[in-house]
Amino acid sequence: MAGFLQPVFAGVYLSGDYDGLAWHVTGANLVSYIGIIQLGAAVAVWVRVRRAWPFWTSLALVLGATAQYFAGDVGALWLHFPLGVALIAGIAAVFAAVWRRPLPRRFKAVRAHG
Amino acid sequence: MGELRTSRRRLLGIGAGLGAVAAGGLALSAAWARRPAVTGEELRSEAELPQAFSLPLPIPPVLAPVESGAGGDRYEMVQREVEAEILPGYATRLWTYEGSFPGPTIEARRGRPVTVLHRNELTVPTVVHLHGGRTPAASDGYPTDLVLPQGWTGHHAHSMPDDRAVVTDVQREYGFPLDQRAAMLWYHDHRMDFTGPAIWRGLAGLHFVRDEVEDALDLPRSDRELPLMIADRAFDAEGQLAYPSLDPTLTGEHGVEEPFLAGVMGDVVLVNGAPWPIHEVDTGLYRLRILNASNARHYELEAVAEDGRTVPLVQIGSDQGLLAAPVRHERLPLAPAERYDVLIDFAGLPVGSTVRLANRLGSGGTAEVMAFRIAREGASAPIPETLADDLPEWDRSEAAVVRDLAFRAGRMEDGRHGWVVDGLPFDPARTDVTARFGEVEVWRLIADVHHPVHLHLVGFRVLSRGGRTPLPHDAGLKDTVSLRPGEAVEIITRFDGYRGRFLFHCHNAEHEDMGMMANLEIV
Ligand SMILES: [Cu+2]
Repeated sequence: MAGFLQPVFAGVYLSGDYDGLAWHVTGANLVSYIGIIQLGAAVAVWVRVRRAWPFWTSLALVLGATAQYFAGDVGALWLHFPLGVALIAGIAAVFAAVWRRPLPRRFKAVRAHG
Repeated sequence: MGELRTSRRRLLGIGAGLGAVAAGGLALSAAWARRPAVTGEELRSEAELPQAFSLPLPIPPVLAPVESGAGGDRYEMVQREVEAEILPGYATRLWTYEGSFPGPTIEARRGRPVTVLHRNELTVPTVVHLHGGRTPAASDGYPTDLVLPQGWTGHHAHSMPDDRAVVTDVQREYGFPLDQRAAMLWYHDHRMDFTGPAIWRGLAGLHFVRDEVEDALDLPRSDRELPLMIADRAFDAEGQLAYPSLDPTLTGEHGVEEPFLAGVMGDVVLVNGAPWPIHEVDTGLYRLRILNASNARHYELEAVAEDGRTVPLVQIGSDQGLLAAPVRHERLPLAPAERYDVLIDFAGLPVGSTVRLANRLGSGGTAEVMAFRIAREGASAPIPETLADDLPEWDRSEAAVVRDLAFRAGRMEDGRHGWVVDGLPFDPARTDVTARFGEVEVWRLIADVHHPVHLHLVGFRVLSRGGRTPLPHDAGLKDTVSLRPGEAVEIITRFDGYRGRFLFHCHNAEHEDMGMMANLEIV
């Protein structure tokens, strides 16, 4: 959700609402935190149910989001715009993959106990 | 198990595909996009260009007053077309103030009024604006306050009606009280819709204001103080100035050909009207008064010695005069209409060597600006540690109003591509911002591409850039601030001096001509 709001804030900002910039920065921070949490969860998935792809896709997204953060920070818009679109596509794809192929029961049970 | 493997393979395939598309997009962007970003398009010269650093640096003549009295100094200037040799072997037609490009320099003292009678002997209407001047509205060179040439029959002087315009025939007297800090100002044409081509043809000159604060510092003066008006131009095969006007007579449709809508840049860098000049100096301290008089080109200046070492540019002043303390730059960014007052120390450099003033944003010919040849030993002088103590300080908490203003691409009144302020193209009949006399305001300016934003009448301080502390070169009192793509800048100022109708606009001259200007009414 935070990821999808980022272009909205950017649009608000570029339309001339200065506060949009602060929202865009807050959104970027939020996306970073969520990314770290997701990466942690993906590590747990890898360890507990031996499924590696959530980790690698999450890692790719976190690295992409970090690059995106710095590209925005230094004003490298040639990188910021296409990378932003790619990240949104990536988030959507991972979301769809997790939705279509939920993690096996065993993990859910483990997680419920833990 | 087999099913799982298939779906995993498919998942991997989708992931790899997505990754490939994303990587392809980024590679395309990296290859196609301009890095660093550039707003504008470069015209290519067809004339034969001289070798860089082969011509001497001209210094614009200082204009003598026709009358001097207790009440100030009075000058007269004629705007006329002349032919001048800018490129060796070519006679280039120019529009000039008093026959010279840059126009003659006016030297003034703080608080001592200057009047200038301008006579228009060109073929089009003109109007003079003193950029950075604290000038009453009647003499501020409002874009519709035109001076018409003799026998002018053009019924449409510009694209929109304006009831408040004060139009005169052939000549007009401008009065400048100059109750302001010592600074290097510049005067140039400001005719509505046609400012870009008029400046390009040569209508620009320097105007110094001096005061006691500056005198007390004992900075390098006379031939150790060099005005440097940097402007890019392009020349056609006959050596005439090339400019992509839709109507080259500058009497009908305004604007430029489509590829140049974002700004017109030339491939020849002129300093005081000479292409890539060279100037002899000694090993002492010099004061450079730099103006970027280009229509659209930004520069990033770096002084480089023959051994590759960077010679620091020590900034002591900004658009509106001296800083509180010097700021040392390896590279100095320079947006259109900005001025920088810098000291450069040639001490320790070998006699006979040269120091190039390079442009790190340029390529090919535009990567060079000019050079200094170290001709002899000179006496060294210290760089003062503190400078001016008369800079206005305004605090956010004093602000009566905070405004957001967006500078971006849009449409002009006639539907053509243009540039707009808060969604609207310039209309002399519409008041965009009403400020109360004496009040402090914070303006938050937001840009889509590069927009050097200029306010008439007042100097301002830069409060923040991109939500952070300003950059080192944002120091001091400014009248033009360079917004980079996607960037926002907060500025603070007090609207005092004079009431009336003033302007704020983008100083990319092509943007300005295509709508990016707005009215500031001080009441
Ligand atoms: Cu602009």
